[in-house]
Amino acid sequence: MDDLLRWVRDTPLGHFMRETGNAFPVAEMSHFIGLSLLMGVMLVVDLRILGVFKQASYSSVLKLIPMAIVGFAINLISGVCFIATNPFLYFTNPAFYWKLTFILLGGLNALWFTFAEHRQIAGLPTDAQAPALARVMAAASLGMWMLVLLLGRLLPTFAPVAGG
Amino acid sequence: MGFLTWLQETEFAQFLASDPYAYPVLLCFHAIGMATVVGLVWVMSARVLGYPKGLTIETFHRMSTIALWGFAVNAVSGFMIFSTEATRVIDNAEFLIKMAAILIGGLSVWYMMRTVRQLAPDVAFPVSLKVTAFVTSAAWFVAIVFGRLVAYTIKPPF
Repeated sequence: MDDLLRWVRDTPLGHFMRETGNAFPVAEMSHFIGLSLLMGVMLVVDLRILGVFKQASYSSVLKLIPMAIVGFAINLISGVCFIATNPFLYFTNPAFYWKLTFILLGGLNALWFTFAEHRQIAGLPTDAQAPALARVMAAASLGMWMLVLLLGRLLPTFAPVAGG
Repeated sequence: MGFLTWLQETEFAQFLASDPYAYPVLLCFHAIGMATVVGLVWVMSARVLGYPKGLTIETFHRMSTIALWGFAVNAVSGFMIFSTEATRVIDNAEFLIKMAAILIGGLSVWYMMRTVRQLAPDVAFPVSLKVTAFVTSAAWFVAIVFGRLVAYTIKPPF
């Protein structure tokens, strides 16, 4: 594990992040922008499935999803930049492992939705209630992304070494 | 500066600054509120700019209510964070730019919502409204960027 983390630290990206004055703050700003995009869209999509925003057709709300994917991509890239800066700081932090776990669960939930539910939900009439399973998954999705956000915000608090 | 010194020295502000849990909890609230306000404002602005066209404007009422709750959370948590370092933050240019961006972003959202409400349904959005949506999105973008910059530019306490 240490060898892997050392390798990550010594990649050109790691060097660039540490040696370029503004690289880290810019990655942080991007991460905050990306999380707002992702959370804003997930709020609208998940709350619609849960029965809020009843005036909007399901298909119109689902068209927002690419905006969430853009937010997720921004955060994946900026997140990799953070890790490359100092992988040891992250892989010794319990909050980081929990955050990764919930990203994985949120991602699996999103994949499940995309392949198993998207078409069915998009075809529902506006006044219909979404199936119970879809509503449970929507509530879980909101909860998981919220936890990802909170665990991320708490990374410096749980860091064994001061920093972040 | 009398008020800010007083604020920073209140027992409550001192508690927020020194308690091991209080400050991280404030940051958590502030992050959730930020994502709620800015995320929903961006969704509404995107809709005004034409994406996604099918999304009915009737959803704006509920969206802006939720966004306002997020704003309230951040006004309260933000003021509490401010109270812990009021005398230093007030001299920070990045913080003042953030506040100006929030003021512009807030007025601009309010104007955007008012204009949308007054338009007859099925009327195409005028260019001026689209400009407002763009300004709104940009102002909240600036608020996030400069909020993050405060952490890098604020003078150390001693």
